[in-house]
Amino acid sequence: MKNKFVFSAVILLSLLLTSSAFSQKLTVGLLNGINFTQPQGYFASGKWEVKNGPVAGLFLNYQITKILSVQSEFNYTVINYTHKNYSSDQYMYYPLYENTIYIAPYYYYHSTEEWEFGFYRIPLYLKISTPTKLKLELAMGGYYSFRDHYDLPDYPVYIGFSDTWPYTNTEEPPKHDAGFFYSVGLAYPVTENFNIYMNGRYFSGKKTYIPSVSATNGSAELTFGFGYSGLLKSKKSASNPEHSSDSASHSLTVTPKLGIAVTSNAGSDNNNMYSNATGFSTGLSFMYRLSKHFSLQSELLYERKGYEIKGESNSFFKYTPGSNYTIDNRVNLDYVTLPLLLNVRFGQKLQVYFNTGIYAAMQMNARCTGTAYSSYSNGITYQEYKTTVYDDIDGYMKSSDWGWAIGCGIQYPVLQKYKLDFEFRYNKGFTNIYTNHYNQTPVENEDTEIKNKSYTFSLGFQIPIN
Amino acid sequence: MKNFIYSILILGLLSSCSKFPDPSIELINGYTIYPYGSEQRGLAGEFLQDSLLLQVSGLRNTSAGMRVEFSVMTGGGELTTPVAIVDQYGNAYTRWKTGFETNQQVVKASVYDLNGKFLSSSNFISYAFKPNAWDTMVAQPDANMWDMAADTINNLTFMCSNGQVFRQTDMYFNWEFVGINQSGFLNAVEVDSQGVIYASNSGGEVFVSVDKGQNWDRCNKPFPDNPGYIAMFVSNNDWVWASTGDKKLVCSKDHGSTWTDASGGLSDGDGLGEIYRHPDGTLFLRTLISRLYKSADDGKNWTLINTIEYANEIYMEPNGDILVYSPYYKQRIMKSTDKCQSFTELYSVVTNTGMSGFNFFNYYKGTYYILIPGKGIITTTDMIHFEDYWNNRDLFNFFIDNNGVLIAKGNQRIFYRHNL
Repeated sequence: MKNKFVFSAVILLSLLLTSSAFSQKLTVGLLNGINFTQPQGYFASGKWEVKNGPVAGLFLNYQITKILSVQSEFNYTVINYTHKNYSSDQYMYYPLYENTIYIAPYYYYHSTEEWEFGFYRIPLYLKISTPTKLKLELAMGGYYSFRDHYDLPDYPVYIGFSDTWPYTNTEEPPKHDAGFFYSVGLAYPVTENFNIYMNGRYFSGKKTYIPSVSATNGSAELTFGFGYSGLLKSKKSASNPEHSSDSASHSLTVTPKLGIAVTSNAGSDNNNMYSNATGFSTGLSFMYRLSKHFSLQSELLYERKGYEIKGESNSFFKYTPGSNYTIDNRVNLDYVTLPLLLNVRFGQKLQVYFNTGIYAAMQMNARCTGTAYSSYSNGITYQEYKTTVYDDIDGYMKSSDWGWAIGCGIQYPVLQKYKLDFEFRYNKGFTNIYTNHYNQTPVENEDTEIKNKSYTFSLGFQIPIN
Repeated sequence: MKNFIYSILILGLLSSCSKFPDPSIELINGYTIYPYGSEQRGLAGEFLQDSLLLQVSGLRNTSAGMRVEFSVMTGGGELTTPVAIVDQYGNAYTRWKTGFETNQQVVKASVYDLNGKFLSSSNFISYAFKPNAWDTMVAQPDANMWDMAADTINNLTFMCSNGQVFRQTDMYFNWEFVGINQSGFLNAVEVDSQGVIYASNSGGEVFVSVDKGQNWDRCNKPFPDNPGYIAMFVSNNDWVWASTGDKKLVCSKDHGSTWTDASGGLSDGDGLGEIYRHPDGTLFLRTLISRLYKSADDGKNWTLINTIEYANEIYMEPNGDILVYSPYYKQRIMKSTDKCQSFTELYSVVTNTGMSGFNFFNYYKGTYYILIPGKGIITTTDMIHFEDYWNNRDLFNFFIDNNGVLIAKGNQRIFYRHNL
């Protein structure tokens, strides 16, 4: 599935490689920012809290063409991971003698575990930029990192027994890591030789740093920076790109878009338990005009899909026969989606269009939140519990999805060369995204198939790229 | 236009961030439900001595007013209050008249909250004992009975179980703890013909009581240097014997005050089994390795008897005839009327089992009740005609209390039979 993602990215890249001018500009600069870290692993229970850490470094960019450049960095970042378990002030499933020697918590489990790693990183990536004054920049590549310091959590401590055994994890995490790098951002020239940048980036590592859940590094970052581009500048590149002509003028457009979605689970045999959830879709849509009526359309979207589940079940995120819990939960499945669509349009001023094609999606988060009520009796106690559910369930969901998309919309011109875009789209996933990673034997009538389905209404603003 | 783009991006960023509460588990309601009055024993068809009490304690809320439904699940008994309301102290009561259908009987108590919602249930167990029938008991303390001694003078019966001594109460199936000031594991209890009670423990100590088990005195140690178990037996002439399990054997003729060596002629492994004194004064000893000895000098010297092999237990009748349980290829009961010069086989059976046992010979009011491991219990009144009394292959230990109640030991259970 990741091959499809790369394939789509290559198509997108080739669409944007429409200029052959060689500006040959070298830019050096500084960047600073914060990260929002969340590891990637086989999670099943508890909350992996998004934590912040600093990012700082130097970058060097070499402009190959007017829109394509290669860039590298040397940066330092501190990554913090926090896992919150289900905390309780009571010893579960045990006679609760509140006023006797069994003073709560008789049994205690660490409710929070924390990791910290420092990394020196060297990314190397290709960047494509719109040939506009305010540049939209997309980048993708790889990185190599050197671990600096680290701090690992102690594991559960049991008290109330004669022995306590705090178990300290002493296994040293890997000293090196490597992985993929993705970035989207904006660049703006404040003077002829100085640019300022704002980027949203994502680093995805490959080596395991939290063995208990096979978790690798994951870090989303928001960075700001400035660069000096007066080095090795050619005369040809001194001209203002806004005034340069381009053979691809008006054949390529970009549309920032934002929409809401009605999403559901299309794979269940127990549809009476599942209901629609509200999600969203936001990102950029690129359209390359092939002819008067036909266009090729690709997008880079961040989408929230999922479903709601309500009723009696023995698990929180899907139907497992049994009455252990009465649940009212929502499952959020966040994806970075890359559709590739054929677009057909009609009309002059007010245009109506239809599109259809396939999409590939990489899962970013899988999360189940809500409430579960349970009761327990053993002949000498009866107890009712309210569980505030927050489970990162990446371990139960596949990391990718693909499917079919079909939609229609209208575009209305505004401000002469821009267009407002209203679109309705139907997405149907083909993949059973549930994965039995833990090899649990399904019970009879247990749901073992979850498929994405969504209806998206979006609003966009189409901008021609000259 | 730029503002519009920025707005779109910011909205997108904000919408991707959502805050949910951290995972947690909260106890919102709970009750402890505890049955008092379970495990009572009584005669079938009669009320148990104590009421059944179900105590319901609310952890967050009061339990007063909640409904408790009592229902007989097994045994066929009756209840005085099938539906009880929890009082202000959290208690709900009923009385239980046991039935005749089963030995172990069950009453289920189901608790419902003020809205009628079922919360939990708890079971009460009782043991109902019927006359002229075998009743099974798996509860403590008697389920692990190891030794028993009946005091026919004072009409008392004592048992050793789980390392402690218990005294039978006025109901043959109820036992009360007998406190002996010691720290070991009591493994043997004996009673002589005058009602003097002896007990020995894992520390090699012997204790004696002359007042029906009310008070106990520590005897002088039979083997002062021995820190471990000893075997103890009271012979039919009221002498107390003790051995360490090998050829060391001592005897006390003064209730454990002094001990004299009685191991002359014994070989390695000849630990104490049983000793009986013949009316003519000859002592007969059966050792733990199934040998028979005799002594004409009050145990100073012993002579090996070669007329029988594999004597697993001996029993002497009042006239001096000696009965021997001898599992030699088959389960045999042998008898000697000439002080062990010869033996006659009275009974034999092949049981196809390698089970061994203890306390094979028991006598009550003219009838011998004899345990045959791998078969069960047989009876005879004349040692000529034997009858199967109860076929139970699992039995390996057998007693009769001072009232003639048969008490047999099986695997992790005890069987009672009271013949009326």
